Amino acid sequence: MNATKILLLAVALLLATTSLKADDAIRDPYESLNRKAFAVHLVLDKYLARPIATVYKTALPTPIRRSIGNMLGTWSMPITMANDALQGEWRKLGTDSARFGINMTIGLAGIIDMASHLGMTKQSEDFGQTLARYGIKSGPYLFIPLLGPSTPRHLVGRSFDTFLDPVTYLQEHEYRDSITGLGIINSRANLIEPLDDLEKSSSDLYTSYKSFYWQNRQFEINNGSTTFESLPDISALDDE
Amino acid sequence: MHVFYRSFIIVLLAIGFLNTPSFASSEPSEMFITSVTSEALDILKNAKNTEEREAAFGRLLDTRTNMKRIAKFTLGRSARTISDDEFNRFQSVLGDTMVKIYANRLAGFTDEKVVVTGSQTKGRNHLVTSRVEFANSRPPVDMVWWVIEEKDGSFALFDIQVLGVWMAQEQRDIFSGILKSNNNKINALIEHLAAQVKTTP
Repeated sequence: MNATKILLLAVALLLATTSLKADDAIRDPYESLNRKAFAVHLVLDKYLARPIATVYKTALPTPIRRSIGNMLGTWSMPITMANDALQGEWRKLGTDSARFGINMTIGLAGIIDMASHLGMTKQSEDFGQTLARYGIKSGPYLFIPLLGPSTPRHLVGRSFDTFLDPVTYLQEHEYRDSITGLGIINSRANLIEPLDDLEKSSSDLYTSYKSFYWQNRQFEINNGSTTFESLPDISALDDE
Repeated sequence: MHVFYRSFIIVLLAIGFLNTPSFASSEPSEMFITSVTSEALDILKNAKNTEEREAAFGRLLDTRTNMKRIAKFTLGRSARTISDDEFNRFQSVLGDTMVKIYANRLAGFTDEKVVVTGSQTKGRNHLVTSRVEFANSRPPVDMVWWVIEEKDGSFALFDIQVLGVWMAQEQRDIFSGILKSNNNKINALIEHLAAQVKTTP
């Protein structure tokens, strides 16, 4: 129960130190420290995570890796469903529940993403997004080796989501750890080429990661919708 | 099992789960993006080597974007404080950098199909949505194209969003960081980009 206490304390701290206003830009007051953590991450990734992911990708054919991704995605759907409910997104809750039901049954325990084939778009929600929807600010940008880009709000969200993840409640910790490890390796394997391309083409890889993380996170919080209101004002650019 | 499966699909169809999107591109901004993507995919398919691909991408950028506007946006506040000469040098090196970046990032996209799925308009701004369908049965990726209608009625591409990430915004964030760490000296940024163009394979 220690973890619960720590989580509650973290939520309380976050709530106490933030105001109920939405974010429009990410702050990076610990940039110097974050850049050091990022450098450590790159070394760990180069000599540990990427080689393991490469072996995994080479050993397993694409359809098997995709099935693993589908299965893990389906098993984590209760996280999305619970957060749909916490955000009052009843329509999404209906769709996500249907996705979960379809994939767990005719999708053979999630191996086949049958719901996507039936036109039900894959969406994910987490507690970090729920906190954002309630107006909790993200806090400063943080980079944590191997975990990647984050913010205090996102970290609290991740901790809370573990309580909603059915895998957490597996009795045998070997299974639990194996599934968690498989998820990490599978995700890294899917990112081998995109991250290699980004590394080759970015003028500042640290900032590219930050920009990608922050923009994608805002996009997820807005449920994947792009509106004119979310765009920067560029009207002054054409003035001479 | 087959009977169950078929009945299930019929039930889903009946309750409207299976939506058939409309792919017709009738809006001028949508037709513009259909034309740009078709041109880009032709380049990726037909270019014989990197030099040819980069040269063709350079022409595509010149004709289908308004580089001055993109350069001003990516520079942020600094665009207002630098001289015309500095701005022109920045715009030129930015064009070269963009060619390198996109020719590199898109090099593997040879058998993909871009389907325009809709658009929304506000004043001269258009957001055109599309879906990239991959030949290797990878799940499709949604993209949004920010297109601006020029005063003469033509269209110019301003930015591209993939998985929620706007590319010009990413460049703006990077340039802002480089300027900040170099006391806002534009020449440092220009030199940094020029060096990147030289070293990128």
